[in-house]
Amino acid sequence: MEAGNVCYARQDDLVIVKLTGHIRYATGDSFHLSTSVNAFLDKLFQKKDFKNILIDLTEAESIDSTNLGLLAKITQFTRQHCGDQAIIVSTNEDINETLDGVGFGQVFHILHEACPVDGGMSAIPDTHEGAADLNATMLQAHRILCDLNTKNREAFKSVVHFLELEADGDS
Amino acid sequence: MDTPSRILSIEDEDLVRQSMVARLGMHGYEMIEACDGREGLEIFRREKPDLVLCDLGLPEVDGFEVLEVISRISPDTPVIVVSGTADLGDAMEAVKLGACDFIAKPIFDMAVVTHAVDKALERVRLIRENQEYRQHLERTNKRLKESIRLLEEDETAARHIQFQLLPEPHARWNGFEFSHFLRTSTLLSGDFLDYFQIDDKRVGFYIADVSGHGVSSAFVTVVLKSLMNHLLDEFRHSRSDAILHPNQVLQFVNEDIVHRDFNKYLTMFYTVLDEEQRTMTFSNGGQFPPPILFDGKNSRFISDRNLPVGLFAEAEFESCTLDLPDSFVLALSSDGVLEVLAQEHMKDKESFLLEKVHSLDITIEQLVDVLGLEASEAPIDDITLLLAKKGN
Repeated sequence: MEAGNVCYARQDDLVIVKLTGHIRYATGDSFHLSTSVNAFLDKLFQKKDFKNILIDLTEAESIDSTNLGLLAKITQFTRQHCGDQAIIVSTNEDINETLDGVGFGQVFHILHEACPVDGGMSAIPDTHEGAADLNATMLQAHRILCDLNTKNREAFKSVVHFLELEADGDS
Repeated sequence: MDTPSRILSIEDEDLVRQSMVARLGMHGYEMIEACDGREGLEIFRREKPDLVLCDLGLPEVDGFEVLEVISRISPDTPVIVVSGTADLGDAMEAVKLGACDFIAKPIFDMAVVTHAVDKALERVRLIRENQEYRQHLERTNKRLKESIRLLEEDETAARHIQFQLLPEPHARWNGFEFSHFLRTSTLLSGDFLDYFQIDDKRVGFYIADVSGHGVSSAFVTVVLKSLMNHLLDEFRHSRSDAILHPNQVLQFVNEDIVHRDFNKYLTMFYTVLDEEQRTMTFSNGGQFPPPILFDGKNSRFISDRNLPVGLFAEAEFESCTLDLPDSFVLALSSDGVLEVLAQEHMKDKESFLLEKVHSLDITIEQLVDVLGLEASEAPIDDITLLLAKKGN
């Protein structure tokens, strides 16, 4: 089973967290992925220098309950401090079933397309007031993600790397 | 400071012997001398030196014999043989008898001797260190195994307590029959379930899956059981009828778990069956896969979904009511079941599950068997099945 990994990237006001492979509490050699991700999120939340967080699950194969909890933590934060639900982009059917199973559609903006077709996305989810503004934000976020995924993969850094940088900064 | 190594030199040529003794002595070794084989063996037995330098051509008891005896009585003591005859056959014979090195006479440079001695003693030292290290490892290993055994004993005791909180394997009230199967991935369970009689008309039951697994998740199952007991208690003392309203039950548990800040949450499906009204009222807090209802002809998923319990403070839960057929089977499972199924994709696993709940007479044992839930390897995640039936 391919081990999971979590990377992040930033562009403009958007933080992108990208999950790949099988996201489990601990990966193969008992490296606690979830602990690192948790630490990463805590540091990120302290900074508060972003408008929203987009979670890219397009390359994730499975996600366990502990990590679903981490996703929930992300949207809780953005709802409180950024005034909006976090965004999830997910194209894997199994992951979609999992997200649907726990009703995450109620607390995340979930997009099921890899990249928006020119002129907009074909399925824009139905949201409450301010739908037009919401859609523009999501469109932009989605475009940023696609840009990074296709042209600028090196922009994604492992969250462990982030923690190491932070540690150096603190010392 | 280590005591100097002691070397026995058995050499009948006085000059050679004296110069070896002098040189090795200067090099830091403590020297003992013998000038023939018999004396050499006597002194060896008495003094037990760390290394022997032995000439092969000794009078009466020759070097080969000395070598053979020492190899027998003290195989770990290195013996370096010295010989005037440059005979390869002798050298090989000596090595076969146990010599660790061979020096040819005349010895032009004593450095050859000191080097050979140093090397041989170093090798002995390394072997000894290796043995000591291995013994140390074995002792540590033994202690670790003991610690693990104690931990497992402890957890087994805890598991016993946790399992006492589960309901009876089979129960029957108000015409409804209940049974369950639970197989944990670690000693303690992160999954939980219960079925109980509420009053003479109604029965409640639930399945729950705490995030993660193991000890920490097991703690939360105990909290859950006590919360549910509390609600049942409130009902029996006519203080609150929340237990009859699944959305209120989930709300209550949600608030409590969020408030306790456990960094844990759970998925939960709670149902109240009413025999008189012939209804099933339920609320699904993120439980996946959804419960399966078989009415005698068709099976389908009960797909209503809410958020998990204990994850979001603002979560709201809704109840749904269904009319129950005269006979039915309700099968609830935790997502650990999905991990065990062979199909690759979620949709296929779900279809497979749906297919298997196809008889009013199905028993928990049959379902466990047909789903392959008792395979030999330990499951990745806890596996739970709960069956609620109303027969013909």
